Amino acid sequence: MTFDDLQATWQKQPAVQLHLRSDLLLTEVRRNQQSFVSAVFWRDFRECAVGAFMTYYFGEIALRQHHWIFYFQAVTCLFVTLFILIDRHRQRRKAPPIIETLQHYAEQSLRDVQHQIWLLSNVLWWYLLPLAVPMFLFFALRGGSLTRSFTLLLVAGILNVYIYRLNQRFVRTHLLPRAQELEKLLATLSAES
Amino acid sequence: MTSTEQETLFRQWLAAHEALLWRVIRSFAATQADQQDLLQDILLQMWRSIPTFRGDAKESTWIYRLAFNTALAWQRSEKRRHSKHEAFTTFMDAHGSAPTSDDALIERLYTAIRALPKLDASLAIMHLDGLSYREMGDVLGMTENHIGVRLTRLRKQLTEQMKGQNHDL
Repeated sequence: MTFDDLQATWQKQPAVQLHLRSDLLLTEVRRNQQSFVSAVFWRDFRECAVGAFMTYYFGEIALRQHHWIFYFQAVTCLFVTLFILIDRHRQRRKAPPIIETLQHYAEQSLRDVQHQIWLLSNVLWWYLLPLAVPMFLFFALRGGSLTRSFTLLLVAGILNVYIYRLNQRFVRTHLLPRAQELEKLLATLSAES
Repeated sequence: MTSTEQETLFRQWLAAHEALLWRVIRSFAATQADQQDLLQDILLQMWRSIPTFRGDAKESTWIYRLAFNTALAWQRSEKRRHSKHEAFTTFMDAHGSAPTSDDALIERLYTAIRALPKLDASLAIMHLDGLSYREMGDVLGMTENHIGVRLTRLRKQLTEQMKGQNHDL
């Protein structure tokens, strides 16, 4: 059997092997699109609202008590919120268009995955430390008795280590293999381009 | 583009390219559940991309790009699949034509394509569909020369694989 025979058999496949119930399908696609848009909106809203609330909460206490630790907490909450929002906005603008050539799409996808790797690998610097340092200082300076302060510091420390390790595991198990897969594909695509 | 125009174009594309979509889906996903999952992803991307269609590229080129790019990003996810599967099951009816002697051969061909790396699988589908090197280049972003080199190897590989399977039977 030659390749031409295979090609002839392939092209003889019944023209329609699949009967789609287009009305139901369209409803489902629309529902999915709405749910996608809604999920993105509420995710952004949630992150923004929590950050704004924390900034307001610490800011308000700071104005009442005039203690530098609360100003510090308000500023770090604001920093983390703005960082997430700006990063998300920039990434959305750079999202790979699905109808580009496979090569272009793979390049954009790789850049996106690499950015996610960078983001999660550096989660300590832009998320954990800015939030943890003022919290640690607060517990150390105003946590009450020595035992209470120590317990609070220990719990906060364990929580931060857990979040950090969770992020690094995601990078190792999901993002790095995906980046390698895309790099391999791109190497093949551009081997003789 | 109005919602009605988007819907009309979606229905037209679905009717015109149903067979193409089915061949791509069957080449990338083996089980019915995976096929439904991938089909839904592709159709969702098709719906979203319609407002950006300006007619610069051929409609079929656009559909191939969309299907291959979605298949590239698609990964089996048990959890995700369960949530989508139930709602989607009723949208597909199996084709009711009588089985032919070619069915077994075509199924083996699909199995062979699924075993290929995604890029080679994409090339194999388009080559079997009879696209020109230029059209394949437009979809993948590769030079015609590069496509020619890869296809020579791929044709040989697929033919030998199918011969090997014939001997096994």
